[in-house]
Amino acid sequence: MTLDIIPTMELTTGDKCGTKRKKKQNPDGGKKIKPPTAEELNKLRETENLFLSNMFRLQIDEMLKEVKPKQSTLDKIQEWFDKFSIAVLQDIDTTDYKKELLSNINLSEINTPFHLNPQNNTDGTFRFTKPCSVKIVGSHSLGTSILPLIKVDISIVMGKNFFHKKDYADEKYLRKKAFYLQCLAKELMKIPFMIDNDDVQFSFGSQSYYLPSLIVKPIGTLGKKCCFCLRVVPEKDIYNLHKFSPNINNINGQWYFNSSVENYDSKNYSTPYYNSLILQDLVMDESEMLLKEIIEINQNVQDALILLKIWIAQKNLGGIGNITNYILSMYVVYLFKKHKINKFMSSYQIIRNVWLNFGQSNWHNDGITLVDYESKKDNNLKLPLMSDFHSSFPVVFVDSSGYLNLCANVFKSNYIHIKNESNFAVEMLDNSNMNSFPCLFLTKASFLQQFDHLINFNDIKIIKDIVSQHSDKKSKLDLREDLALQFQQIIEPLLLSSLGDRITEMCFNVYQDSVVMGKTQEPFSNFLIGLKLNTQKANSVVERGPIANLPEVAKEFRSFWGEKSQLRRFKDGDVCEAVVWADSKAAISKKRCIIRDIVNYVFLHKLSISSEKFIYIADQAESVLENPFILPVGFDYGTGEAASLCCIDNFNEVGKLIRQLEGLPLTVSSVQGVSSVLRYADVIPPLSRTHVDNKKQRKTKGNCILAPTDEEIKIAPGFVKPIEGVLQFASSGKWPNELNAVKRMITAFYINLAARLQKDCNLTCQPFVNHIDIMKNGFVFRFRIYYPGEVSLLKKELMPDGMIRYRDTEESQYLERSMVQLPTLTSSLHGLSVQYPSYGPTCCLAKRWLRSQLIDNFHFPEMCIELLVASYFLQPEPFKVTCQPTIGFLHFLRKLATTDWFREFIVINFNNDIPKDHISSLECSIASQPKNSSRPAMLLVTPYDLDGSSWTKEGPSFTILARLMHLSRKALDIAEESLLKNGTVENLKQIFRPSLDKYDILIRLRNIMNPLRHMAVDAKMAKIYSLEPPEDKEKIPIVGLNPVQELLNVLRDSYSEHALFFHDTYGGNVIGVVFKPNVFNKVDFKVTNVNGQKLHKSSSNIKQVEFNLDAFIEDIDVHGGFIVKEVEKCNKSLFCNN
Amino acid sequence: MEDCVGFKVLPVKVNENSKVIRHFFLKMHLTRDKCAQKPEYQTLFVVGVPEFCNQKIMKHAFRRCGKVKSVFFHNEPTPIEPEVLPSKYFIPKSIKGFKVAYVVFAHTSGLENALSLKCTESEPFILSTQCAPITNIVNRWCENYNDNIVDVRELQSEIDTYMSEYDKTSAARIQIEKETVDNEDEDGWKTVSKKGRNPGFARKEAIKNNIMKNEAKKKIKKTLKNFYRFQIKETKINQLMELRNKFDNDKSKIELLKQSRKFRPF
Repeated sequence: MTLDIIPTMELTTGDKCGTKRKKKQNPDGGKKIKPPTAEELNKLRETENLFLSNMFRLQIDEMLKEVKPKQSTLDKIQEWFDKFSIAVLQDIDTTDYKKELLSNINLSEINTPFHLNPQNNTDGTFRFTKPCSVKIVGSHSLGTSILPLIKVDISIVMGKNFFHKKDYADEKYLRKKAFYLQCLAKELMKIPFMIDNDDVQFSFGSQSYYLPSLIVKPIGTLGKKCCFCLRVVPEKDIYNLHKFSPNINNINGQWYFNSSVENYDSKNYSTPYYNSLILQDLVMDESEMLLKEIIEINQNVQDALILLKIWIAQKNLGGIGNITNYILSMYVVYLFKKHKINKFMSSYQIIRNVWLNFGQSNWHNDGITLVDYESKKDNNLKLPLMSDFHSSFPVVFVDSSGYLNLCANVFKSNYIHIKNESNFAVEMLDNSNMNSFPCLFLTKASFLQQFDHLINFNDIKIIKDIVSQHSDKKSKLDLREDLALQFQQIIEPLLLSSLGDRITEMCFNVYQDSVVMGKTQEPFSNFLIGLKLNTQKANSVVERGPIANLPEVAKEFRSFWGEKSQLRRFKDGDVCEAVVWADSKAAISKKRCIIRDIVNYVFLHKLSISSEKFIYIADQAESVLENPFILPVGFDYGTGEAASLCCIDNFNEVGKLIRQLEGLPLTVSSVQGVSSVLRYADVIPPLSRTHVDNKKQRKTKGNCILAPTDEEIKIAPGFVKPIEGVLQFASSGKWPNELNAVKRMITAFYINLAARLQKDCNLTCQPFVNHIDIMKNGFVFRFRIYYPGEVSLLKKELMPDGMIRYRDTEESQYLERSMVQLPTLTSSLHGLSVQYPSYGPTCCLAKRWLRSQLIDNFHFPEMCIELLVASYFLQPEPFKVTCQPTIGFLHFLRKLATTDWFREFIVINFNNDIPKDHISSLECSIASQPKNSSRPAMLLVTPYDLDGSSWTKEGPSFTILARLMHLSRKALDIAEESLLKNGTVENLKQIFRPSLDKYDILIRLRNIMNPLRHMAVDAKMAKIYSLEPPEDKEKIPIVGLNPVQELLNVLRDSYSEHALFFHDTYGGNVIGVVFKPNVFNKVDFKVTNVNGQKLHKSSSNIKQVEFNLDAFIEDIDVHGGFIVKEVEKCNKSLFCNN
Repeated sequence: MEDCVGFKVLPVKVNENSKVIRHFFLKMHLTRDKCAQKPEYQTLFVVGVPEFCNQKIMKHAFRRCGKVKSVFFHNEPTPIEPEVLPSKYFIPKSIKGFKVAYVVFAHTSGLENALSLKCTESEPFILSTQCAPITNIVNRWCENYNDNIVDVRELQSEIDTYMSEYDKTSAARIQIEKETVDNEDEDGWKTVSKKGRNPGFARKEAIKNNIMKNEAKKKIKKTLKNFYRFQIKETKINQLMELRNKFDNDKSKIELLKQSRKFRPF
């Protein structure tokens, strides 16, 4: 760091000299500027031409530095390989191994990692012999291997005496390879100081189930940095490639099915997948040459490949069926041949071109080929046609030999997914408003977070059943035990046809565990299907089919949907076949999961798997937003959206009434909302209700019900939260010029407004000194008047020389925040939740989780949570906005956990209104800040608050954030695991139950005094309350009485210097207290530091005071009264005396 | 009572049943700025008063030393005279948390008694008795809530009187301004205000800054930029500087990102 500062310092001084020279015309000053060297000029220019920006280039350089292995490591790898090759080629003793018939092999001695079915072959022999040669191939030989674990591919080349003429048929080739590796592993383990004997395993990687490779790790420290993948390949030209064309059969049906197949004709039973497994090995040399020719000499291509590798790795799409690094390297070669890439391009330009071309590719309809037909013409070979490939494989990319489809194993959906991701990557590069680099390369995207809904099959038995029932004979013969591909071939068309345009993307992720030596492994452990929903269509309750008078199509529709299909007349007059999934009045939370209902139905009726057999991940977390104990009037509560909507409608109505009032002294120019419910972000939205809790007549004053003062409250009345808004009048010059007078004028307006609303609109109103309360339809609305002059009056300062200046004061900032910024933000965020309906519930989930960790509004203000969530919705890259709140919540946790709060700030860029240079200048200023500066821990930059500190000044602090980073990381891990492994609501709820260890004192509260007790995560209530519709002429109920909150406030007022208080706002019945670290230190007596202290008894003359812990505990009871059930002293070290 | 840096330490119990001893720190109120409402030799200065002690409790508690005339609370010790509340409704926010109290006795004897109280740890001073009980937070909230519900007519009339008073004073001020405008004083100086035949501009910081900015702009317009050869050369150098600067800025940003280990993709 210091080294880098020095040149900048020089430059700035040089700059100063330059300006000085301008004035004095002193030619000596100019000498201090370094004349630019040719290299520097070149570099500066190159950056502009070849890279996106300075930043992008520097970041690429830095990242490549991090991932590229050091030369010393490379040397060590080479050293180990030399040792290995000597051992394998010379030292191994193979005399113990006799030639054996494949039908006689003792499978308890040598085994394969994959299932052998049928167990034995009829012919063929196996004998473990020394290989012809061993060589390093693949990414390591090309210089594109990356840390943290370098994978070195080693080919073990076997000669003709090992592979026989007929071995390519009936799996013999594959089995012999596996047997061989098994024997090799045994032999290697015998050699001392060679490999780590505890860590020898078979891995499928992204390869087919039948092509496991042996993974060994060198012994010692090198084993932590690299591993070696051993593969057996045959010598060159051992088989004729022609035998492996996609339309040729190489497995005998009779042998496999163990019975004669009806109408068996080997032509109908071609085995393209099986052929491609063998072809891979046969064409290896040729492709290797091709790759080397282009990549090895070109540093920029290597860098580009590493970048692409990282990009793919961050998507977490590892298993079979995906576009692999190998395919991408071959694609780079293809682009090179097509002159889309040339050797003068920078790594940035190469990746950009790869993404651009990949994004436009169309391999599922119009595959590409590396074959140079011109040169092969004269060879007089009959290569398979492209149409052959397309009829056998969903995705086609033919290699240079013309026989192998490199994408044989690739799922069509996954190919399309990667294709979309490529387009997305280009979009990100072109987006000048963001720093795309970290999104593209540095953000790890878990599979769960990339999709909206997920289906997880984690029981292989169920899949086996499905495949054996629903897969056709041809693919059974071709793929045999490789269930993943077969299952995918069954599931993909089924989902596509049943979900149609409800989804935009689908992707499969197959998890394959690596296998311990000598064991046989199932093809995979988990089969995950990710669905990205089409927000426009996904929630529609009716699936409209063909018109009834088209019998052909209608019949098809009817046969697909079965009894679910019915005839319906639509609004446009058509009578159509249709499937109805839900009532159109159903809660939004139910509609969000219509796709789940469809999937459940289809799986049950088409594949006869019931919904318990797989895990459907969609709305698991949202159950904590439900309100099971109160039944509202007129709508289904669901996750609260309908209740919020009801509040918003009523608020708008009141606003309209106010604006329509005529003859006010000043006309009302705007009515804006402030409450979180108006942004759909209130966890407990107010419900319309009759507020006479126990039908008892209450004393009233004005239009209000009085709070009882003569008797103690023994049960908290229902909590009435006012819905707040801000009124603004048309500007006028008649306002007084003095603060007190302005305040009185505003109050006079409240009185006037109340009288008019009461008279003209028949609303129950009550003016107060600082606000007006209006009752409508069982809601209480609270409005305040904003007069801009009030802020400037608060800011006004008279300087001693008579000059007037305006400076922010605490009060003026508060006023501005609550009357100007909050309404603007509210309307912006409301707009956001209209654009993305999942925004509101996601906010609620985020709030609910934070609060459940006992972090309340004092520690982490509501607005900060909402803005954090908004930042994901406005700039979700590298993800896409989700329409499922549960997934959105995971994103919130990720954001909280992965942001480096000490060095980063969050940009919430509504309408892209923040100027670009402001962001970069802010970046610089934070970069130059000292480490423990006094800035707020969190900076949320919005167009209305360019400093980003107005909501975060009071909190959260670095301490709270550090704790939350830890908690959210844990919660995210637990949530993902719970969703994938268990999938039940109850299991996921554990992240909403906080740990109560580590608190010094726990204040247990009387549940009955908590007005929000029914919303606690594990609330139990005796009965369900049905609300009644509001009555006319109701008095305004007691507004805002929350005893628990009041107790917290009063404790914080007195003791915030000494302790932190934690509480779950939503129905929590415990307050956690943590003392600040130095509270129990004795301090010298000073008038300013005696609060809550007592004199320390000592004989010395120095008078010191110490914290009065007993008084603190007594205060809890004195203030709390009936609220406090028990004060539990948890920290043994503090209370050991008592 | 124990002495402590000029203060007396008074052991205090909340009520009869309480077992917890707290400490109040007492002192005679003595300041350079004299204050009519807190007279010397009658006013007791108390530090470390918890939030729940209101006027009533304090008055009752110190009754045993002598008749208490009034009690004032502040957030911290202050020589400022307590505001005489002009209104029943427009009142400043109540004090939160621990506070200091000024207990004004009717006679000097009250203060003397208070400072020579014979309270010990085993026989502490009792704050609250039956007639002045300590209320819990819910009660206090309810009282406060009920107090906030205003009598509309009374409030309106209060506002009206205030506003008419305000109108009167502001009218008088304008009158004076009008009269003084454009009158030369003895030395020949004229007072300029916003009114009058030749109004001046308001003396605000923003306006001053604006004027200065405009001046600076004018100056820039006047100077020649690419007239001399060295100037042309200089602009080129400056361009290069800018590029370098940008480069270095980016470098420092990268440095920052490096610190947070941002470049490890896995």
